[in-house]
Amino acid sequence: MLEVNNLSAGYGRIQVLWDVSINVKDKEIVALVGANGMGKSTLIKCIMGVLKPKSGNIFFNDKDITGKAPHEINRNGIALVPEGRRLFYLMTVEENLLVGSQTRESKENRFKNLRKIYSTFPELEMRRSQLAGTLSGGEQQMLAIGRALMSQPSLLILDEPSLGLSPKAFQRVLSVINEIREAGISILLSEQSAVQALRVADGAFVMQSGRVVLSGSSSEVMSNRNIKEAYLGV
Amino acid sequence: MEEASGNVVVLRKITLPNKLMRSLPRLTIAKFLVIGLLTLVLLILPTSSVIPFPIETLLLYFIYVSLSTSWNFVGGFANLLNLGHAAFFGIGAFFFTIYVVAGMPYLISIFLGAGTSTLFALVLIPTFRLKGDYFAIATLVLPFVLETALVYTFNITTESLPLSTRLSVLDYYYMSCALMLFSTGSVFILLRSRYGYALRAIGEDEEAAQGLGIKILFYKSSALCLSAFIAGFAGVVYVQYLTLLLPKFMFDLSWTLLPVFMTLIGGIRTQWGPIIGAIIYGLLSQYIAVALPGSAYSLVIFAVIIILIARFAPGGLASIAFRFQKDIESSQGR
Amino acid sequence: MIYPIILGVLTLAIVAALLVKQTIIVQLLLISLVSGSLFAIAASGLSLTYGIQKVMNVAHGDLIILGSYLLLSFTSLSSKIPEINPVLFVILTILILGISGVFLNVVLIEPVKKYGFEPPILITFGALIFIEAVLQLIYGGDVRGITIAYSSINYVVDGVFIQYLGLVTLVTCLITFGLIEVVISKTDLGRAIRASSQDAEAAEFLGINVKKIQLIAFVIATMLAGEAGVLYGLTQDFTPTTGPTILITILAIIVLGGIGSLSGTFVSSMVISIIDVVISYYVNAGIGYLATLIIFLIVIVVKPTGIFGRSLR
Repeated sequence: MLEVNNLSAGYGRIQVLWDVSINVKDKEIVALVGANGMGKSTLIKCIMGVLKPKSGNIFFNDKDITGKAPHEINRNGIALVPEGRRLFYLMTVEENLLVGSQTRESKENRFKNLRKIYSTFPELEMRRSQLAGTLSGGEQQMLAIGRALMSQPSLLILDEPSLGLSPKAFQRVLSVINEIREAGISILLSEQSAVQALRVADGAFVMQSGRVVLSGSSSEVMSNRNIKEAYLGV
Repeated sequence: MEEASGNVVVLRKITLPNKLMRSLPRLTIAKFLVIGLLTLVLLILPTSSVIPFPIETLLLYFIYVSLSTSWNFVGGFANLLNLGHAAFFGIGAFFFTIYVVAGMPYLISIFLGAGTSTLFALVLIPTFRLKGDYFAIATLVLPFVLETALVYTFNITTESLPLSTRLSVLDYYYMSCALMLFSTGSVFILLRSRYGYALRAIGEDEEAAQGLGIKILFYKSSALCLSAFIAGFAGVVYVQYLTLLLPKFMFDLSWTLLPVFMTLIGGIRTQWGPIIGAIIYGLLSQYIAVALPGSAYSLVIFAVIIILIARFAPGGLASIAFRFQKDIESSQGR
Repeated sequence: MIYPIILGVLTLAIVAALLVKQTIIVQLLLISLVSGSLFAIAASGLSLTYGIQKVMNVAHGDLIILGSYLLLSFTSLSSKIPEINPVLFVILTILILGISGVFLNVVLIEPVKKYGFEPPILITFGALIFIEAVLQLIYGGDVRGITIAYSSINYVVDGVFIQYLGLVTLVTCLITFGLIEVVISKTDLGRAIRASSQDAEAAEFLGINVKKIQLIAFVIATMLAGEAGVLYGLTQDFTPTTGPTILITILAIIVLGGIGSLSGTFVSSMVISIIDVVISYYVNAGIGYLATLIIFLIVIVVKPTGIFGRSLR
């Protein structure tokens, strides 16, 4: 579904990504793992059209989306739950969710989707008229996910969802991710917390210094000796 | 290739091409000699009755150069977009007239007039903490405030300067020449000093400068004071040349517009920019005055030029040259 | 909504003054009400633009006066072709202003926003001078006013004098603000506008074309300027230099009321109008204007975010 081929990108004269290739298949949960500063965010910026890569390309459902504008990428079916959530804090919970549906199709199904999201996240329904800024960290993350889902994506990208979350809240996120995959949406999960991410994922890509150093199924990756030492402290 | 900008989000603010200024050329002895020679020429020639010398044109030109250099010092290098430069100019003219009419000695009145303008710059200090565009609109309003307030307080709509203070046009020429030399000289010298580096640092990245321990308030206020002094002095000279004070005219928007225009066209944030810009303006306005009589035509044209420059060459004409250089660099794969 | 409260307060004041037979106070309040409505519409456009795009369009005052001059030309045309409905001219004026808005935003402002705040302000500054100079060329510096059949209709109640067009201004203001409020808070477009101004990048990730939204908002703002220009032209005298004068009053209103806050704009417009009218009456018209300027300077230094500090952000 998503194919990133030989992507090289950077900021000005500084190159950050070197010949990176990843892919996400239908109904797959893929983990993108690596410490901060290793290029995960830059890769996501390229996919979402915020950063134009210097070389390489990105295909989504066989369509070349390299360098398109972010809003076009979303309308092609990729939704991002940004790092730090980036909610519209001066708007209510429900308004944040409503803003998520911008295309004709998502607007048609708007209230159906809204009910689905409220049933998945009952705490959001309880606080539907509250300003987004008044929610707790975990609730905000749920709202960010719900908001992205309102755009009816076929691929959902989550950028560091564990940030600022209690372990319990993060567990909730991970179980929700599974539910989302059951609903037919693929997931790209970019996470510092390697263990947790690998546990829930089907496949994984490990990034280091702007390159993909290891890839495969998540069990393969988890049992890799280098990874175990570096990330799992074994 | 610096393609860091998406369609909406800019990951890095694209800075105006001021790399031309990274290192200012040294002031060599040779340059001093050339300047000295030019100065001599400017001073002596007018007195010769043989060579026709455009005294009045140059007088005006020197005033424009002073105004644009002083504006660029603050608006260009320190990045304080002052859209109310006319305020300083007007205060100088206005208060000089007041002092002289009140009977103060001539020399004192001149410097007090410029001094009042400098004092006024100090009054503006509270506005420094405003963000760039807020500062711009605050200064934009100033000439209007001053004009209304002063006209009402002193009950003056026009005022002729007393005969006792009237000098010859040649004297005014020397005054404006001296002012021009002072303004360009002080700016050139200051920019090369520690003071200048601090000021330019503030202009490029205020937060970073603050982090380096540079006292922002001191530099901004002193730069604005110098700018105000020069502009005020220009007002003092100009009102004498006119022998008549017309507050509405002295505080007019065009006394802000023209220095900005000249600086933009010549190259903002460069030292020669305002001077070149003033020359271009001088030539342009002469041409327009002949081709299309009526002041409104010239304003239209200058306004269009400002728009075009701000739109296509935000760094002034100098930046277009820089852009070529950059294109060459990147095509060579550097 | 805060508007009913303000209006209620003002109505009570008027009624009270009427009862006490303080005709002058009632008259002054009424004039303030009308003037406040006019300037509220005028200020709303600028507030919208700055709140959403962070671009200070200093040419806004001149856009308004451009609207006045356009209407002037149209109405003098209509005297030669009496069959045309005058409302058509109003719509035409507003449309022309909207089109100028598209040009201004797409061609001039949008491409240079990435260079920081300077180029947009310089461009709008240039536009300010340009419009004023062009108007000067075409119409000259004489004072103009627009007189139509409705201009002379007045009502007198208990010695208090109300212009028909003044009432029109008041009602138009209420309807306009009501409409804007509804659009902003209840429609998809309004939510998209709010989202774009709070976090443009996040909005893009949700499929919102922020540039398009900003363009729409800008066009709405220039059409509001056209509306203000129409009303201004019908009720006041104007010259090409009136543009900057209006701009300054609007700046005072916006800074006092809080950028991006619509209700703040409405309230502070009323407040400033009352101050201006009262001072102009008891002291001198110039001082009334000066008071406005001084308010602006004080507020911008002390609390730049204004009384209703919240922005659309």
